[in-house]
Amino acid sequence: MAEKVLLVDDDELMLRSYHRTLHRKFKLEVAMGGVQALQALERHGPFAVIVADMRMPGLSGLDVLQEAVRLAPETTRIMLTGDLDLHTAMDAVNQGRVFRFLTKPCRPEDLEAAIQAGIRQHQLMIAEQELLQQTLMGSLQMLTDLLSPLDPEALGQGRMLRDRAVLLARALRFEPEWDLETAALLLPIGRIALPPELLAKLKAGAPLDPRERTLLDQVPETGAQLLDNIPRLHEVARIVRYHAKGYDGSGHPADGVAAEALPMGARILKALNDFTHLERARRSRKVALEELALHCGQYDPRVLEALYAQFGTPAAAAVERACPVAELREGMILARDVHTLNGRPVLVAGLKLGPAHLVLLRDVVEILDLQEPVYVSHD
Amino acid sequence: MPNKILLVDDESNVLEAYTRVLRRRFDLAVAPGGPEALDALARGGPFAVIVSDQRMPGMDGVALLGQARERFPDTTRIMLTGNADQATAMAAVNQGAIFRFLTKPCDSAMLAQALDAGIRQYELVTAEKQLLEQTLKGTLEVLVELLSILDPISFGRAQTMAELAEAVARDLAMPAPWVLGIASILSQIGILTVPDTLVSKLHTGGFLNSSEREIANRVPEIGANLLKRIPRLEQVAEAIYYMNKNYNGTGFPADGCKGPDIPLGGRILRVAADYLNLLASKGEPKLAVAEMEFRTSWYDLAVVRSLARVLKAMEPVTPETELREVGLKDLRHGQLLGSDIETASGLLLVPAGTRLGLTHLEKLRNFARLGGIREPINVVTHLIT
Repeated sequence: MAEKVLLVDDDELMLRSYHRTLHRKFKLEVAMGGVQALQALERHGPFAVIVADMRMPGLSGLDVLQEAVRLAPETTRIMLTGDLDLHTAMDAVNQGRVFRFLTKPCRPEDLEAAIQAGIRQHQLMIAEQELLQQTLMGSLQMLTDLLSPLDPEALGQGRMLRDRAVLLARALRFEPEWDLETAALLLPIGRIALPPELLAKLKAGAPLDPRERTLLDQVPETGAQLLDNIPRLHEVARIVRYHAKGYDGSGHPADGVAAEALPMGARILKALNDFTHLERARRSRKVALEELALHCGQYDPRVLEALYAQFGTPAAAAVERACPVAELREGMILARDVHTLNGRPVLVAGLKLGPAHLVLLRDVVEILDLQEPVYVSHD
Repeated sequence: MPNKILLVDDESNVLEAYTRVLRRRFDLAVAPGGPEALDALARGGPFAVIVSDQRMPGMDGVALLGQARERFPDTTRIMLTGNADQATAMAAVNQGAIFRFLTKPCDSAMLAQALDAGIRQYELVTAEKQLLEQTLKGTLEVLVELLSILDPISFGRAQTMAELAEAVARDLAMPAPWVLGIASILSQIGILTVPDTLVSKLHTGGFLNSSEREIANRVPEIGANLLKRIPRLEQVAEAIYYMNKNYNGTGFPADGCKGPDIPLGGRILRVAADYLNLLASKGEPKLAVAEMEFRTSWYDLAVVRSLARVLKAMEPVTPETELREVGLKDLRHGQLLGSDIETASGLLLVPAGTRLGLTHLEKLRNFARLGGIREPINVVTHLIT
């Protein structure tokens, strides 16, 4: 399929002349002015490249490109302009994330070369997105799902944390979501280095001695160190390192980093992780939210506000129904914890079932010796 | 691991000024001219971004960036110059494949922004190679290292198997050797879906009844089924699916495919996994390979011979090794264990032959703090002659 290109100008003559010279080489669409351009982006996309004239009445080229960043982040942005002063250029780079500038009058071959480069750029972005979102995240999700019965309270919450993190990231316009989602899945990996006796104590709520306390406090740092050497996971490691740290500087690691110096992703996951655990421990979303409010100093106020907006309305009372293990399907949400016959919890309520869970629960029944039936939510 | 940046200018005070302001945010290297810059690219790389001044004696910026483009095409090129007219700048950006054109004096905020964008560009261009070969592999390694702590026998060899299988794939000129690395690391994940009692029977070679045999045979299939849903891991899934298949067509899956029709990835995994089993029982690489050369109905002989070449190439220059006793605090990431590591009470933590990862070290430190670990520990070192 040919990649689509959107040309935006308020001058009909210009548009016609571009169209004449370029329509054989690209799948072109033209828009008269900013409003039409945004409509085209929304309705006729995806476009590989958008070329916008800077000076247009109403919405300027910069306005259009800025909006394009939001509407179609993978579309490469090129700006055409008659008078390029340094200030305009800076604005365009910072806010419009412009890939190329072209000055008017622009020779057709220059425009063509710029569009070709823009298409290549678009393809690179799509390929990267696919690798990150599908290949890497898909593998991680699969492995953490498989591991979730080993530590249902932590690893088993990864999938739910990831879904919730995406909701908050959208509300807060935080990007890239990729770092945040990966961190949500890998948040507890430092726990696996903990001795089993300590994990058992945690589960039972038994008091910890000071040495054990220290080990537990180091979990985020341990997890971060495991990830720090992996290319491109630098930011993920930073989020994992600070995910238990309060906005007010409380918590570990005790290194004085606080407030805005904490990575935004860590502030989001701190609030969500605490919320998710409290909700489970108190068996009530309302009580969990009230407890967060009691310790509001630990949370970024904007994150807390977004969290209240997202989860503050009481969840529509989910109707649960019993489901035989053999009838479990991908995407079903567990309404209650799933236990083995001898009472060990293996998956926690709220979890959305993925393919790896189904293999564990359904495909080889001997694996876990489950108590049947399993309760799932029913809308 | 931060991305490296190379700044090139013939005026040392300019370099100093930029370094002072930017070194906190970026991993910077500097070069006083074109030839030195090319040398740095070749020896100190890979660099994410090169920023060059235009006017330099000898080789100017355009010439330098032109050569950089040819020899190090992934590195993002940025031009920084004092005397730019608009037309030169445009032409350089649009035709010279130069990513950004900055004019002097350029304030540090603007330069920093260009560097961020340049790094981002480098990441895009190298995405495929880096994400598949390093990020994906690295992350999965950490998770499987963690698994090796829970089940050392099933997962402890993944790292060594990955090294061997990838080297064999390269030796046989497979187009995507990383596939074998990932496949080795994930080859045992199906084990996670096997009941614990059966896992211990498998490890001790206990008698399996027919339904247990059936489950054990399906281990690779379960792993492959989970993986084949993930884009770009199709070949990984396929290799794992065929890892218990014999060259003469017997074994699993029983699908009538045999000889060269079995996917090469599966044939390589089969050989790498069995080699490590044999090595554990025979103790000597040569003996293990010799044994495999007789089993022509099981293995593709071309793969076994390739493995022999790979092993020969991996032999250190001084093949003599000895065991050295070290304390826990002297253990380092990457060391090869010469004997099992056990807790004071005799619980096996990490088996001999494991190459220590960061996860192992962390786990061992935690155990040492709480319960204690038997010391000293034996690591394999090469004799220096």
